[in-house]
Amino acid sequence: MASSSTSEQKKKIRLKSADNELFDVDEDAALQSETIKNLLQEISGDQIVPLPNVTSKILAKVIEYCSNMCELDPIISVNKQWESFFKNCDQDTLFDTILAANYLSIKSLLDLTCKCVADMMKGKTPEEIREKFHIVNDLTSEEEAKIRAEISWAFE
Amino acid sequence: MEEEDLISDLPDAILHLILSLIPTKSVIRASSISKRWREISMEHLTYASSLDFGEEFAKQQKPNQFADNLNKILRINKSEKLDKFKLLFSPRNEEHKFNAISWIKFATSRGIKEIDLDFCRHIHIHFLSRAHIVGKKDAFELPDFLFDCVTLRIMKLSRCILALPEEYAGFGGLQTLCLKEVHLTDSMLQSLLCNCTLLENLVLKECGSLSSIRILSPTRLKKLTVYECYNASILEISGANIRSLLISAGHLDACKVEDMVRLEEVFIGTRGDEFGGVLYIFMEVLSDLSHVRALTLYLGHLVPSLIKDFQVKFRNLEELQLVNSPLFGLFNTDVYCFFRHFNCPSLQKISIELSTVSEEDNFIWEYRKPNVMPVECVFINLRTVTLRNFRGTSSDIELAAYFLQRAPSLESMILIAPQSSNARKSIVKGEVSCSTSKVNKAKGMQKAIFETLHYHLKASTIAEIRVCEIDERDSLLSLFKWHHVFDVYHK
Repeated sequence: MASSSTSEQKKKIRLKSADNELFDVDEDAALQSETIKNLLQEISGDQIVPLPNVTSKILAKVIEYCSNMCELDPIISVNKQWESFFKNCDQDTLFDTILAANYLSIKSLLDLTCKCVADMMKGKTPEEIREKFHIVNDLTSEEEAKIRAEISWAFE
Repeated sequence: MEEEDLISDLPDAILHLILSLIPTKSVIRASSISKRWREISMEHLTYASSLDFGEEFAKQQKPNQFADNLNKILRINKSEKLDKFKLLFSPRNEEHKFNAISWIKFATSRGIKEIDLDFCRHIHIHFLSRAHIVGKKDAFELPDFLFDCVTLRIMKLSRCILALPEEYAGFGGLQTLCLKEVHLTDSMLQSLLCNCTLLENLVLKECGSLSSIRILSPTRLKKLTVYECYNASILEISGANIRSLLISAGHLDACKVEDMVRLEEVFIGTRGDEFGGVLYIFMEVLSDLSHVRALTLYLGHLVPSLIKDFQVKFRNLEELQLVNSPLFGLFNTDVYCFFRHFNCPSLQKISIELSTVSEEDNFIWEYRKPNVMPVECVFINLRTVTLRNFRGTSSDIELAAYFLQRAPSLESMILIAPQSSNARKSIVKGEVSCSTSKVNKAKGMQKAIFETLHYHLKASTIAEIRVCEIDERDSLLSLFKWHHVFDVYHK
């Protein structure tokens, strides 16, 4: 992106991750998070906003996303790129981002990441879903047989 | 490394959000994953505010079974408010119809905002046969109480009979109305338009019962789609707020567009115009729409003899798409013909879908091929040229060279190789994959094309030529999606 910060200096917000790393973020990017918006009202002046629930690795990604969303480029293509990123990243990153988006209250990011998970589940059998997400089946064989009998039609 | 079950540890609210994004049938299947998922999915069905009994749910189920299973789920559901209700059902007898009415009642009594009802899933429609005309006999007639529902914002109806009750007063807040193969009369359409004053988006697709369509001065309408309502021979449209217009028709006696001052993008097409009459009418329409910013023509050949008198200056036109319609091929001469009659000084982007039928091989094309020579013009603002179905034949190269030589500001020329219909479908689903043989083939073609084009003089020194296997940003598909006629592209 071409630098646009020449004439008017954008206001920066300083964020601190769970592992004490500091991030300077453009205000309009940071304000996409309702949580940060509320925190800024509580703390005064140029204080650092502590985010004890988000690691620096995930916070960096979230900031990149928020900055992208502030750009004037057609949102659709930016969104597509992020969708493909989350569909191909490891599950740690995906689920940590979901939790971060939830904690920071960034609706568009939460919707996007949850849609990626939903797309991973679509059209899959319970066995395939268990395998994909490493879910342990704790239903007894009788319980499972009972459920499967009730919903057998949904497997056709 | 990735052995942990991270998904099951997510808070309930997030799991519910995920479940709300998958079809109802998949939610039911998820109940047999584990104890946690059984609880969550049952809870989800109990409080779901969006119920999707669409294609995925209907698949492989006979009507009786479908009705039983749907009734089971509705019995579980205790939510007081319902946002979305989608149904794809083929009522075969009175009992089925009775069931369908009770489901619609379920939705309308819970403050439904978005309803999508499709009452026939067994008939496959082919655009050439008219066997699918919704006859009154056996078709499902929508219940009167649906028309009293004031909470509706979006209503999509397919393959049913719409008969307005006598004292119909309008859907208070309806913003989107989408009628596909719906049986309604001209006067009912008028009544709907008069009474739905907040309507912003109207789709009429293959409504064969309409004999004329008059959409006159709707105050809020922004997007209008009139797609192949094959018995409507008169089309009159006016609306100062309409931004986007899609018209596709095979036969018209008259078409009038007026007062469309804010119109930005127009799609005009025909799936079958055997006598060229529609084309002549469309050319007149285009002369009235010379202020648009984006134009898509889905006409195939432009029949130069018919349009010889037209000269239109599209003073604001920035984006142009010329698309190969299924019945007619689109060849270089059609492109030249277009620029002979339509002057586009502001053009920045052009995308052309060439015919996949070989021009040399087919005598029909030889017979139809008009004799038009390239027009001498300069595309002063043209930045991007995209040529789809580019096979690298001599005529393809000629067209590419035509733009290279006449566009001094050209930044990129994108040449896209033809794809099989399967490849197209996989793009739509987002599963883009490329086999190595295809890549090699594309590379081979790329080299040959570069070599050939190299000999042509380029007007722009910065123009970059790229050969692509897949068109990731298929703007035609998104246009069809935007106008709710997405399905037609794959028939």
